[in-house]
Amino acid sequence: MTKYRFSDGAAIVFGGSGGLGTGIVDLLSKCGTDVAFTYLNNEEAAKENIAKIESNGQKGFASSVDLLDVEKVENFVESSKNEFGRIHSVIFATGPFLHIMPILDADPEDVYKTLDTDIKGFYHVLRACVPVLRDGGGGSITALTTAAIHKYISTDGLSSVPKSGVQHLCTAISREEGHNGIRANCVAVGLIAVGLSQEIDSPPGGILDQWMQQVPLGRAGDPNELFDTVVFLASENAGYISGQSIPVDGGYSA
Amino acid sequence: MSIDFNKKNVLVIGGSSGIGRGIAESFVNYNANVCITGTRDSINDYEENISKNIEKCNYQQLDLSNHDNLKKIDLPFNNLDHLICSQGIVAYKRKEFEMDTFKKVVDLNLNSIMASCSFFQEKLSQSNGSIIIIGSGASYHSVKGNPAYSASKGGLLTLIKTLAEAWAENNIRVNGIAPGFVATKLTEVTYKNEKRYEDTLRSIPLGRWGTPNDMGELACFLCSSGASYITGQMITSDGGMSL
Repeated sequence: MTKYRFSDGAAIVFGGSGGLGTGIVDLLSKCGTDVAFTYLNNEEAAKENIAKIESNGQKGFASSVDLLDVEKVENFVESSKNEFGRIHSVIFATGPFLHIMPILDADPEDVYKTLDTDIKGFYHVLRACVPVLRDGGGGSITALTTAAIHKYISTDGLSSVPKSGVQHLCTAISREEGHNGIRANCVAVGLIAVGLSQEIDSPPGGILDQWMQQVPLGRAGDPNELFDTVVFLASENAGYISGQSIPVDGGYSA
Repeated sequence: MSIDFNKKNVLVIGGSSGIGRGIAESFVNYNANVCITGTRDSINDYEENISKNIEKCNYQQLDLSNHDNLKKIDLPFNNLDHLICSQGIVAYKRKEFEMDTFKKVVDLNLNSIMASCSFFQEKLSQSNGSIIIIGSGASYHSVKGNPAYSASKGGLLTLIKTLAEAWAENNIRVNGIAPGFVATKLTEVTYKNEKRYEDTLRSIPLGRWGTPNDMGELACFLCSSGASYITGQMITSDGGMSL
């Protein structure tokens, strides 16, 4: 018995070569499912991921895809379906570089770019994937967002504002596609010791320190503590959970 | 690789029937030692068939209309890793608008859960354990005919958050599950009425009621090492009904 159950077919991870995406790809393949994933530039990391998937006894498939190009996203999803026959899970694990500052101090171009990467990118993913999930008799969509949606972190608006849009897209899909057997959920990522948090430039006493002081468990999370929640929500173990956002944040947002 | 509660001890208060019973079954599936409680003298006094998993559970009679009865529990194990609070009652036909009934429902659904968590806090702390409290959709929204049920379930939402923050330093995680419609004794009035049942299905995007096993899988995940950075959360499992 594997840790989390999946039906026949494969999972697609958008952003599968980043700090968090890599761990999700690994855990998915350890649960006995094939995995297709996208990356932006890091071909080396993508190759390592494929090797890892194969060492877990599964098949991997990767391609460099710019999520802002809807046609490329659709082509990738189509190729993944041809490769594996059926797609049962879609995971959105991309994230732009985070700018930590009061939202009105941001360069408007950075704001627009972040909104594009998150909301437009995720919308393209949904346009490409939902029909494929429908064809396969249903499946799951799981998006990584931020715990700041549940409890705001000052100067984190450039992350939490676009991710709120991602969350609400999941709500819309849950409500509108549930009858097709499609579930959609979010994992609201707290202070995790690799990936997004590592990219935040925070001086002593800065946002990370302030954040940590408000974490009841008193520590940053280990990436593995995040991967399990993502893969659990994607799996059939969570077959009745839809439209939810689960903070993995050591109690920060509680 | 699998979720595994081998050598872990789990107490499911209210595990004699309904959602609690489903959760107990799931923990047995994942190899836990499970003790369940119910208000009746014996597990044989409940209508449900006794499955192989329930047969493996130790049964304790426990009536929490008196919180002192917690002292009478004779746990079949010395350590306790996970406490599941699944006790709950509801009163229909506007009874909950009468103060005596209101108090009785709140006392069982909210106060007895605080009493249970406090009673086992030390044991749970010794094992770096966790607590799961069963809330409801009513933790978030009104239930027109049931002010006591919804107020008590609403109270559980912030009880979970508060105990999670207060007991983090004792290495106890505290989370909850807010189930949607699950066929149990408590929801009989709905699913045994064909029209009402059909109405509920239309409101659930996934188009089906939840099962005790759905809730059991979620409880087991929340107690597992994979959820070790999740605390203070009430997770809704309702097929999208509340969206």
